[in-house]
Amino acid sequence: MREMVRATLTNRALSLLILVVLISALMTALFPKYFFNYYNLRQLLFYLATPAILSVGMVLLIVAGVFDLSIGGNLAMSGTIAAAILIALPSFPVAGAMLIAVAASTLAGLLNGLLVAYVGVNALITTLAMMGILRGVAIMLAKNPIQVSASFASVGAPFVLGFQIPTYYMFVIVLIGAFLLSRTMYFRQLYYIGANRRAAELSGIDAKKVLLTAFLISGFLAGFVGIVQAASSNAAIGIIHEGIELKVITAVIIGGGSLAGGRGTVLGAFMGALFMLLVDTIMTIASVNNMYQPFIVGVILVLAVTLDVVIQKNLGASR
Amino acid sequence: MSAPLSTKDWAIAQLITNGALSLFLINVAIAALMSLVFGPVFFSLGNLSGILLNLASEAILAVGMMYLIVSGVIDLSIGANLALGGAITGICLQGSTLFGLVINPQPVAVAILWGLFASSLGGLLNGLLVSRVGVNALIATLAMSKIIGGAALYIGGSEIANLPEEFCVLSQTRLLGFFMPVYYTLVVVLLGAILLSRSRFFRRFYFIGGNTRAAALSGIKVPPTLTAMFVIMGFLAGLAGVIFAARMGNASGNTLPNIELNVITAVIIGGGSLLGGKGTVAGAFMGVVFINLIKTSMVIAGIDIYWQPIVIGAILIAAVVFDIVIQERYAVSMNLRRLKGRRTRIVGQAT
Repeated sequence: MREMVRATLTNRALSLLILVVLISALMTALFPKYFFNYYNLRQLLFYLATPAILSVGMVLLIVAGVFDLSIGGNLAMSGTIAAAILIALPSFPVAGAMLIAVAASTLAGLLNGLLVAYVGVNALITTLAMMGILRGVAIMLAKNPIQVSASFASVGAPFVLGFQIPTYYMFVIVLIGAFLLSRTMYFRQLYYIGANRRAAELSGIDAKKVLLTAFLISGFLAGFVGIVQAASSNAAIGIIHEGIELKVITAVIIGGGSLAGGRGTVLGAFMGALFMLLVDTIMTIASVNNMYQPFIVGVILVLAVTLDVVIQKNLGASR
Repeated sequence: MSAPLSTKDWAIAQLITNGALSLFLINVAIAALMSLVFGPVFFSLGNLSGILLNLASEAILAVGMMYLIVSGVIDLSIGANLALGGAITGICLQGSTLFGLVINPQPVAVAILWGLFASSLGGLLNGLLVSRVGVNALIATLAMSKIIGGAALYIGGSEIANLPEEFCVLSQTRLLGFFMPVYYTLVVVLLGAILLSRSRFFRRFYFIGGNTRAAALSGIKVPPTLTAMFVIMGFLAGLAGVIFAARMGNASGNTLPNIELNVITAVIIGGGSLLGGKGTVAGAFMGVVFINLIKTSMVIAGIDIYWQPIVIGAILIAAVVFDIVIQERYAVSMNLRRLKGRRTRIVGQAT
């Protein structure tokens, strides 16, 4: 029994899943009409797509002991580049504009990776600076929202089997990410790098290259989300998702990641994102005053991280 | 014995190792260039006064942020804490009902003290979370920024307008052509610089940031020192909030959003290192001046305001990369010189 408790506590994805199920059951009992229905589930999974996809890139970085603050600016830049190209050159193929936009975001990820892994600049500074640059470009390109065409919207807006397309993208990307990080040799090197970079390098891991790959993926995913976001909301917006990077980092941490590196899983990060979204949804359904919401989110976050530290300490001590 | 550094080498060494000095020279160069190109539009007492007034909040926050960064931690809740200090002072001045409690209008000094107290309390919570519970500073202060910001938003709402005249004069009075916040800022920066470089308690920050374990082993009580540091940061955020509220004549739960990122940028440009153990208050102040100088220059040069984050971001990257490259090259040339000195010595002994 104690072993089971310990296994559940150490497997963050599992303990969060139990928590999410408990919260959902409670909400269903309290608000039978509003919580447990198709519409709510559909919207929940739709809104989950953006933070969940971004958290896949972020967890790779956090496992390696770094992170990326520029994803919010990067996704805004991607959406606005694609939309701006199509406004300037209406006959340009939509797919081409999207590819260019995603390539630009991946390039931004490449720059982050080069600066952090090869030049040796601190990740916070690099990606903070990049956040300003990319967000600046996005706002320059779309000071007002740019409406996108129907063919552009078709990659994010339509419903398939009752759910919006981004929901499916999310599941595919999370599953691929989970497989890569937990099962492939190349990505498992991220854990060694995060736990002890010098030791990893001495044992023959090309830390620079692996880190660069992680930043590339983070940039690529941000670019992809930017396109999907613009498509599903029918407009590219320069100021979209300001501050989402901090939400995504928080989701990864709640999901068992550690900013010290060496810890974290894709499924944990996904559950962390789900948990945070559920908290938001509950407050909306329970009609909590908007004024209280950030305060309550903050209290839950503080409790979550405190509990995490306490659990880790106790498990470490009892072992 | 190795050859003593020549005057030129010494000057270069000073420039490279003293971030504040080199930034000061860069700031002077920018100001001179702007004055030459734009004449009295830039080079006027009014413009200087405006720049200094606008950087007041960032400069006050930068002092506390430099303390934290020197110690290897960080605080993302300062923007929220600034808003909280202003909002609490605002409702204490005007009177209000809060959680069913009736707050009568308070005298100015009492209201300010309550504001400073609330922000310091926010800092204390940050400090306890980081130093006692052991939560990573970035995550702890990020979560706390929601709590503090949420409280500020609830208390201050969208705006507490028409703050009383006797409060506003604190920031809206001019002395020798400058508004009072300029003087408050200079006092905080000077005091902050003297404390960090001269007082034993504050110098511990460098040891903690340089090597926390070694600091603890050599008898420094790390948790209380860290907690005190976060309280100082909270207090300074409250002070900046009060000064800003008095300047604006109103307070709101959402003043100066994202200021924490500007402040961190300024501190890093001013020579702080997120690894800890490095940085000076003078450098942080020069970093704030630099960023504000760039922003003002861009406005005067008629450059679209949306270019500002792009240019600041590029400068931040350039500054850090330049720092890394210079440090490496300089370290290499210093080592070579030392080696060369040793070789001549050995050769000299042999002959």
